[in-house]
Amino acid sequence: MRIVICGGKFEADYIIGKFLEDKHKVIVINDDEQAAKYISEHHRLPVIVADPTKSYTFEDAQIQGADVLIALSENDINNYITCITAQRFFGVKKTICRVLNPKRVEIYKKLGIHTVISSIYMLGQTIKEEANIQSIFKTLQLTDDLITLTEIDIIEEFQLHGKQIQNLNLPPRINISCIMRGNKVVIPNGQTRLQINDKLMIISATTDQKQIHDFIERSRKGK
Amino acid sequence: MRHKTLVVGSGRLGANIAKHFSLKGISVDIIDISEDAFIKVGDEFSGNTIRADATDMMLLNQLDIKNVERMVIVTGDDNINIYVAHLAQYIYDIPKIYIRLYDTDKGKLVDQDRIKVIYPFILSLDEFLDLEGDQV
Repeated sequence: MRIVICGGKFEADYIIGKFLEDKHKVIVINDDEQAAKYISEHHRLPVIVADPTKSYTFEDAQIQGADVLIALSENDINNYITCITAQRFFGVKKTICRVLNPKRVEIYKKLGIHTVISSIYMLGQTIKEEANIQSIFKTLQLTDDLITLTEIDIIEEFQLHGKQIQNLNLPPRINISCIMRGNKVVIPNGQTRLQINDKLMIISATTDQKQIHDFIERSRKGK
Repeated sequence: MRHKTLVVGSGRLGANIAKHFSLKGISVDIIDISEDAFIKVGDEFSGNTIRADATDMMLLNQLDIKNVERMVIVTGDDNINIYVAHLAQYIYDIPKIYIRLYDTDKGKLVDQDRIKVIYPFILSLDEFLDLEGDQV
């Protein structure tokens, strides 16, 4: 693949290294002379010192029809202009725009940039997902923390509903002790089918609790 | 009913355009990232001066943008002008959009059927040739 990397210093350096390892053809453009020198010396690669928001820079660099362009500078607006120019006038197949301000992710996508990445935005997404998982698990430690009671809400996303307990492939040493269904308590056996909104109570050794988390994570991805 | 004018960038041009509309009795907001820039609008100006980053969508959302009829985008940075013009056209659908660009080559980044572009370079060149009495 032909890959164009615009701006950035350490980020660019790292990404260029990865692409070179995989034998891609890399075109590097950077308007900061020091960053350009750093990258050029590190990878023994020519770096075009020019402003990537100008069309003539792309003409000189011959990026026409490149497979991917990544805009990594610390100026969100310049990255936007770089990507738009590459998409519209140089037939670049995929543009990736880095932004510092996470609020710009959605807007840039609306304005037509193929992919927008923000490290803060991704951190936020991860935290949201983690928080979601945490809220689904409630745990209570008993007898000097050796035994743990884990409570799990069966939400649709888990893809466990409709299955009989004997077919769940629960990890070893993990058994469902009881199920709260509405305000009824169900003492389950292998034939019991799980329903959405069931609350499972699982008593396990505290050391085995991670297995429950992993099991739920797997079912969530539908594996 | 759209009736307001929003000027982005309080340089000499932006400030004078804002003053012009204000004196005609049209409701005008002017935005600049630097407070000092508003000195140029002068005392006759009766609109709002807003110190803020015009590339920040949150700000534009707060500005009663649905009532903006005309947006004049004249910051000193072509890339910012183009980005704000794209927001104005594609996100807010402002009826009249004017933009200044120093780099004539960048004009192709905006939809010229919708956005009117002012190029100081072309105006200066024309004026020079005129002064010189050159018949092109």
